[in-house]
Amino acid sequence: MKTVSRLPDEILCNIFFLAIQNWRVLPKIFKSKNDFNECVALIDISQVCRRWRDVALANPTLWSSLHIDLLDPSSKTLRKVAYFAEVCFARSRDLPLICAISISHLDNFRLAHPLLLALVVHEARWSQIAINLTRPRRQVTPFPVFPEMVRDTSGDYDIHLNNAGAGLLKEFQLNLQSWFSFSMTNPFQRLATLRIAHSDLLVLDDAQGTIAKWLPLASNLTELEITKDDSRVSFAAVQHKVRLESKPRLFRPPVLLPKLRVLLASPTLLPKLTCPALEKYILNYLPPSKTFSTSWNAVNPRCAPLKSETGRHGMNLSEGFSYEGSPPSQSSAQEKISSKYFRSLPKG
Amino acid sequence: MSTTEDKTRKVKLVTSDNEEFEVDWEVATRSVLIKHMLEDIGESEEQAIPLPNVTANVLKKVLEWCEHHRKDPEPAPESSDDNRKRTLEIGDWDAKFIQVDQEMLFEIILAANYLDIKALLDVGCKTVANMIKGKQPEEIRKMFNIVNDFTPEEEAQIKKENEWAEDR
Repeated sequence: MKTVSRLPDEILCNIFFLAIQNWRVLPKIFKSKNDFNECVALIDISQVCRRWRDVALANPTLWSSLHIDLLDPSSKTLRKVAYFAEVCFARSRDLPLICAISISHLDNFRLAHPLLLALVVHEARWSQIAINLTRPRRQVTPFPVFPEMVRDTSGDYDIHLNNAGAGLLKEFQLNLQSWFSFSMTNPFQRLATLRIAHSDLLVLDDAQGTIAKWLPLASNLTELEITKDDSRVSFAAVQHKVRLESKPRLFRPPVLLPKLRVLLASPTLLPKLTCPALEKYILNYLPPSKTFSTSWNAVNPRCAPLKSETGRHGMNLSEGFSYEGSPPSQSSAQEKISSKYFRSLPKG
Repeated sequence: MSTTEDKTRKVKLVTSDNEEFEVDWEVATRSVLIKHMLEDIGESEEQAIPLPNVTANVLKKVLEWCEHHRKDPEPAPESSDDNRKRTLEIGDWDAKFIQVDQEMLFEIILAANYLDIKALLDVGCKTVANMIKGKQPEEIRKMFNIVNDFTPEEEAQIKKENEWAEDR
């Protein structure tokens, strides 16, 4: 009698691949690909019998993409998830990693430190990485209230990147730049999408720090988002010092991003960038038009004309600009970048 | 590239239990293995193709699938990302076709693998994957009559390793 035990390893592995395909409804995380293996499902598969376990463990691809999505997790859960992530990353051997960590309603970010460290240990294999941690907010009508400020300068929770992606990194999202310190020097040749949220808690403007740290190394970017992190958490004892010492670099000439097509950033950052291929400029809040116009006028001579975007509502805010979509409410503007509206220059 | 002459041609297949099947060239060549064998033997119509790894009842079922899919386009070459892009969806006809007992299901998978019929192999693998999905190890063992051959020490180690998943 033909049974499952007669199937060759190759076919069994193929079945495992199919069985762990993501079946949950996930938010769109990565631009180029959003398919995660359900490594958790591999746990059940690898507990069936020795052969199934051997087959599952022998194939690193099964373990190389991981999506961790937690809501208000306990410290115990986070410890276990960190351990599970270590197991997955070890079993993925030397393959490029696709990993999205999304933890909502976590008030004490320190609890996520082991998980983030487990990921950072393998930073040289990063291919598509998204890290998003958010704290709970008290809902006080009509607006949400920001959480209490947390500042820890002990250095115990510092996370350092020095070789993220090692040339493999294609997409990177981090909503907690203030938590990470950086000493990266190698160019990100493949990095196409960068989404960074910075904190304004430190002495110097962190957005400019983002530009100084990432952009000179990421000349092939096609999409860039620089937003604000409103988690009100800082573990950045060392980073603070580095920023103070490196103040002169703020006066560097604008960074050239020759392939950048989509930009989401504060108007005040526009003079720091030169983007000759820019097609779309996005704002997730409505700026005072004078600030925007001044900044845009400063950057515009270095940009190609944006493609015309006809506003659905055709609402002109100021000369030469049109507006698309509904203005986000104050709360949604603080929440996420997804409800976007943008301004763009008519062609020519 | 097939010619008009090829499409009218008949092909003889002989199973492991010595049953002979005569089928259209277009149907038989859904199997890459048979296609290559036919290319090797050339124009000889009389020569039967031996299939020592497939029994008559399984070949009959496989040929039913090939007949239904005879006009399908050639499958695209696999890319390195194929495994990530696949879904568990199975077409209506295929889903009905593959509603067979477990023994026949695995026979079809093995035959599709041997005959190199990727699309049929895919249908079989997806069916098994759907059977596994969301099931606990004990349920999978019971479903496929698999013996738990872990030692108590191994079981303890695996349990520790997968502790966190118990909170799911």
